Parts: sequence; C-alpha cells; structure tokens
Amino acid sequence: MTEVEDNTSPAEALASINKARAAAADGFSRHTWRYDLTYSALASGIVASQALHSPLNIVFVSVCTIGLSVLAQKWSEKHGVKVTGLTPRGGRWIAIGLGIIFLGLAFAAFTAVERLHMRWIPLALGAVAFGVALIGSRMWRTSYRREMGLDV
Amino acid sequence: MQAPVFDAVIHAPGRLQICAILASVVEAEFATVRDAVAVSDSVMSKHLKMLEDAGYITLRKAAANGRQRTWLSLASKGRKAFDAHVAELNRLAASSLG
Repeated sequence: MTEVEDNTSPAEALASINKARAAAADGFSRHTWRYDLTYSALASGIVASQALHSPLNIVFVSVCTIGLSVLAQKWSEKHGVKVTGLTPRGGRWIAIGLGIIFLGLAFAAFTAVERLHMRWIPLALGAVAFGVALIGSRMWRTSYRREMGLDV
Repeated sequence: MQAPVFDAVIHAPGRLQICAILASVVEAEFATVRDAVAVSDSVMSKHLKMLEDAGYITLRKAAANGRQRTWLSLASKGRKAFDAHVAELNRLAASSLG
C-alpha cells in the first residue's frame, strides 16, 4: 500500500472514512439473540430482585450489575471494539431512555414492596423490564448499524 | 463544530481511516482496526507511530486470555484535528461540486 495517495479526491477520502467505520463496526454490532437475551435477563433481574428480602435483593442487584459490566467487557474483547451506549449519536437517546425506564421500574418495584408489601409486583415489573431491554437493545443496535452505514 | 483545517498527518489514507474508526468508538483493538483498514501489521504500526508522535492517539496494552493486546483510542487533540480535517474535506468536496 502506498503511504500517501495524493490523487485521492476529498469525496473519495470521505467515502473511505465511511467504509473503514463500517468494516470495524460490523462484527460488533451484528444482531445476536444470545447477547440481547442475556442483557435483558440481567436488566430484568435488577428490577425483579426487589421481590427478595434484604440483604438478598442487594446481593442479587449487585450480581446483575456486575453481570452487565462483564457482558459488555467480554463483547468488546471478542470483537475488538469498545463503545458505550452513549457513544453513537443516534442510539444515545435510546440508551438514556432505557436507563430512565429501568430506574423507574426499579423504584416502582422497591416502593411496591416497601409500602404495599406486594412482592409479585417486582416480578411483573421485571417481566416488563425484560421486554423493554430486549426491544431497546435491538433498537440501539439497529440505530448504531444505520449510523455506521451498515445493513440493518 | 471545528473550523476546517487540513492536517497532513491525518490525511494519508490509512491514518485517515484509523482516525475515523477511533472517532466512532471509545477504544478499538489493533487487529480489528488493521483488518478494517486492510493493511499489514508493519504498515499499521508505522501509521500508529506517526499518530502517536503527533499526540493524536493513545495506546494501551492489556492481557486477555493469556495474550497481550493493544487497544487504541483517539486523544482529544486527535479528535479535534480529525474533526477539523473532515470539515476541510467536506468543504473541498462541496466546493468541487459547486
């Protein structure tokens, strides 16, 4: 490969940027049920664990939170690309929205147990969190792939 | 939005692509970037040395699964230079159309 292709036009240089980005992002951003289901199970676990008595609920929330971190790290190591939910412009609002929804569901689950003593509510909200996480994860990935110029 | 500034260090096709990839991620691993840019290890290392000497990228070594891997990230100086260079490319592309 030549060091500098001086005859490269600005349009060609810009096209090469998009091509390289797409090539690097392709493996990392492919839709995979294995990742999405694991992510959704861990996210719903944070909400549903409010049904447990203390300190088990704290232990379970900690395990799920660490699990989410390990999942993201392993995924990055496997594909050689590290991004956060907030990295892509398009998917940023999906990630922020998911965070707000999870916090709201976790708070509602906690309140239902503490004030109403209804331990089935966190389980129901956990199921909701699972669905939201699954849809959100796939929406984020679709948005990221679109931003990188890849087929969704 | 950066003011358009042509950057000779970034402009070489390989380095432009490396910066483009790093601008869209937090970090990327050496082999992933090398494969995306489609260059050899030695050419890739040469590009990285120039970008690192310019203060545009940072390299981090990390062991994973018993093997040493190099992770690359764009420094804030590199991000500014890359954004300014892309703005200049866009300006030139627009002016050539007009």
